[in-house]
Amino acid sequence: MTGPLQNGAAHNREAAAFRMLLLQAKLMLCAGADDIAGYSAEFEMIVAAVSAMVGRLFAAENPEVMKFPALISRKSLERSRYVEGFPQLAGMVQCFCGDADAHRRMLGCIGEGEDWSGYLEPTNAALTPASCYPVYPLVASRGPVPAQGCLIDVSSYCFRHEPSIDPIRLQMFRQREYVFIGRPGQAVAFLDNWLERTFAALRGCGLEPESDLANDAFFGRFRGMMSTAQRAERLKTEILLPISHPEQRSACGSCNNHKTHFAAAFGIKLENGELAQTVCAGFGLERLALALIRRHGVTVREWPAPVRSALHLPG
Amino acid sequence: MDGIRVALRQSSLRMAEYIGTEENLFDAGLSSFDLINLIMSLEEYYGIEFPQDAMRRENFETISKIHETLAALRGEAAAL
Repeated sequence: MTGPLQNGAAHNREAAAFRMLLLQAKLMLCAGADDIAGYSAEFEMIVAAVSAMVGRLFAAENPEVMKFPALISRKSLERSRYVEGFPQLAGMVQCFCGDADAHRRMLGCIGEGEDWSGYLEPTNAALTPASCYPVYPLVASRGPVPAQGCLIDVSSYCFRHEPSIDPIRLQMFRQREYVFIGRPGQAVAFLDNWLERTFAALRGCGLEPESDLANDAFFGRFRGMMSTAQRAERLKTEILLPISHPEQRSACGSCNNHKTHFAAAFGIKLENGELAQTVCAGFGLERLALALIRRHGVTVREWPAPVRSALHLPG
Repeated sequence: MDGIRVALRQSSLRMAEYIGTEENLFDAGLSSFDLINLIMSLEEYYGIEFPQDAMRRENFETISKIHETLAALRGEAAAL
């Protein structure tokens, strides 16, 4: 799930001003670098509230709830083909695996202010690009998908290498998504249902969401071709709200039809042996929290009572 | 056309040897991500680089269209 590119100078000015507002209100905490943020208890209360709201959307359908760390296996990342489409956003974990002599030389390197990354080696861990990614190999390992399909409510931290001071463009952020796996008609019906329930829930929070067709931030010279195909097939729809810029909308969530992409990558099959279809739909939790702050202000106790009630926030 | 079939095989399309020259590759299972691999394999095999205006899905829909795209590109290169 990625938002539209918004590199305009006006947007950057508004993003910088919004960031300053969040820092002054002590909702966001500067964590040693302009593009790495922490959050206060008040902000975390909002994130917990929006996460719970997302969880209520399909609670009646009794989804299987899964939580994962920000790590997936490097093999899973490769099989998902993320690196083919988004190498500029991917990250993997490297660690020092050398001996005492190499340790001494590495410390010397750091002491001289030189690049010491050459002393690190790749591990089998990669950073999760979207919270749904650990679901596909797991579901594939369970055998054929039952006739009614399966619905999963999954959350994790995610990583994308796009450093920015814009509060909505974080390198590490939280997503909570629903993943539906089943037959094509079931998958599309789920997305329609998700959009309808999401709009109702956001309106209940005093927000005025819009949706639009979108494309992911594909890499380099393939971007145009891939984006055109993604839009022509109407595979991605974003939920748009004013966040960093008060008059320009940014994505705070999206729903995505992968068709058989992940099923083919991981071997997820239906009971008749055909490949299943997968869809995911969810939110960037910080973005949704920030959209609420943009709409209702930096002090939660001053938000309208119906909004606090809809989010189950203290009155 | 051998190079095209080699590239198709490398792009993970099964049955690459048996696909007809006019058969739609996307209907036969070539995904958008396979297309990235196909283009890079073609470039490596033929020692070329597709210009941005040739990077359109329809230029890679069939083996025949890939052949035409390559021929046009190599013709342009020869004319330079």
